[in-house]
Amino acid sequence: MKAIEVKNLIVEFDVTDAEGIVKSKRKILDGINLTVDEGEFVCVLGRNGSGKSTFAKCLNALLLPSSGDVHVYGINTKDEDRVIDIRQKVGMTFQNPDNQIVASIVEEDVAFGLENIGVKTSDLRVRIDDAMKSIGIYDLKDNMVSKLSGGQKQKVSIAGILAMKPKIIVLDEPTSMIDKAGRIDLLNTVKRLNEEEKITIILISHYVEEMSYADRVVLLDNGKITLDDTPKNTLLRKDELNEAGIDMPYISGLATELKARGKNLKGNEETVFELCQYLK
Amino acid sequence: MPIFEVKNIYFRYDKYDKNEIYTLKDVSFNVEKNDFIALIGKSGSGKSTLINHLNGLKKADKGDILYNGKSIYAEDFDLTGLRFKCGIVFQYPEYQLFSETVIEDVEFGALKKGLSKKEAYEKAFEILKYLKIDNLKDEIPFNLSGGEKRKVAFAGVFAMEPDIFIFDEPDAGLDSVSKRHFYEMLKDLNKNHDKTIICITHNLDDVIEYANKVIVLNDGKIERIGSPFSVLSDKELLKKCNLIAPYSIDIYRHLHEKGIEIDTSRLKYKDILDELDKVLL
Repeated sequence: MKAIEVKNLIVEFDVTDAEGIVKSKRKILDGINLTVDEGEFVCVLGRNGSGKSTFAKCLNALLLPSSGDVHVYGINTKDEDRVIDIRQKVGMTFQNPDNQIVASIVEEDVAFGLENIGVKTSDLRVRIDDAMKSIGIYDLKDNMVSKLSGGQKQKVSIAGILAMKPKIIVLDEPTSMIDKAGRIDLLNTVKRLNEEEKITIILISHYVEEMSYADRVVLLDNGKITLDDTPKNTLLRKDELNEAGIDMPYISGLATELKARGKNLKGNEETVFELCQYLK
Repeated sequence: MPIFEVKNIYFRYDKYDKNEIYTLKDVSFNVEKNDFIALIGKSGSGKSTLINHLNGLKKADKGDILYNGKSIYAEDFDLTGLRFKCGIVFQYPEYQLFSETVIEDVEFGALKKGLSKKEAYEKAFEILKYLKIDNLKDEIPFNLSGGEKRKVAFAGVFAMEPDIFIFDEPDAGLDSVSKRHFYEMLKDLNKNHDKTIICITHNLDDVIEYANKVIVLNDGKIERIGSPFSVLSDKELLKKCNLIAPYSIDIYRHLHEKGIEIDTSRLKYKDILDELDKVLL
């Protein structure tokens, strides 16, 4: 079943001068075509300014196409009457969790979205508890959000989304404020939601390492999709990654260069063990 | 004489809290001229709070900070002068952008230093080019992507031409190529232009690559100060501070276990590449 279908998506912004007069147009997305099936885990990679966040905002009708169409479970995001349906299907977390945390206590923040759509108090309790447990922040439920670390805040915002039971979760650079241990932990949690609860995941990232959690990698550059492949294969396409402003991950980068020097390696090794398995 | 001598500082946010929970506890370290210091520690360990002390944005409750031997808390100390010498790029660059165009934002610091409008414009343009964002000069800063905003914020600090650059997680939100370019530029400033760098980061691979000294903060206390290798190869320390070793150390350790020794002062990416070239089939 198709969860997301994007056809010839173009998004342009007006470039204005200080007086607000439109000088020109800046094409952020330039003819995107992409179909994502239900249950897929897609990593959208791209350098700064490649259009990743703009693309994410098109998926839940925060932004509408300048031309082309975005369908979510068959609903066109341009259909104004169904915006609420779309937003219930597509949950989204932003780059900086501070931008979307509204309450002062963890569980209140997680409950916020549900309260707004009028869920009964008894159901509310169950759904927010489930959401917090599933993301592993149940112990923190009575804490002040302001006292949490960046990674914990990210989890709170994801729990808030999860409580809404979306079919699709879009994560816009969820780990940019988190240390490596927190990053691995968060991505493992997301992976588990994908595998166990069959939630379709769109992970927006510029950390190439993060693509190994996904089933599929889509590379965005200059508003266009320039690569659409599995993570393992993507690691073998170094030139295309570099062309799009993406460096290889540390280990795979070594593997690629060593392979070029004639070593017995495939070039897409991802662990120290794989890299060092053939010692002299 | 060190540029900064931080002496036993304590700081707490809530001055009225009876429990006296300190965010910084008895923190002491020196910053020498031409240091490239990586300040590491998990989220919430007090890193950002600490660097805000260095140019007097936060005032320690106890302890002292000497800048070129003079207490920054002395009544006759020129704090404004220090802030021109010691530029900070904050964690959220959107907090420090305020002008209507990118170039105006970057000019601001140069104008404040007393340059003419024309000189400031040229300086700002030169910096935008150095950072490879001169194409954005007429854009409205608030319309830029997260990573682009970050680069504009760097440019603003560059325009002040400080001696000491302090960065709070400069790599968050930058793509890998921009990040590498940025760190190479810091290395250039540090090696060829005598600038002192203090950098908060979560990316320990970059610490190995660029820093000469590592300070580990844990729960508001200094846990360790040392060379990148001595700090990042200490398993117990990393575990205690919830940090994960960089790949270069993993490779070093893997080879060490197989009986292959590599020079611990040569663990940069290129060194590792050459070492592996020697030992792999």
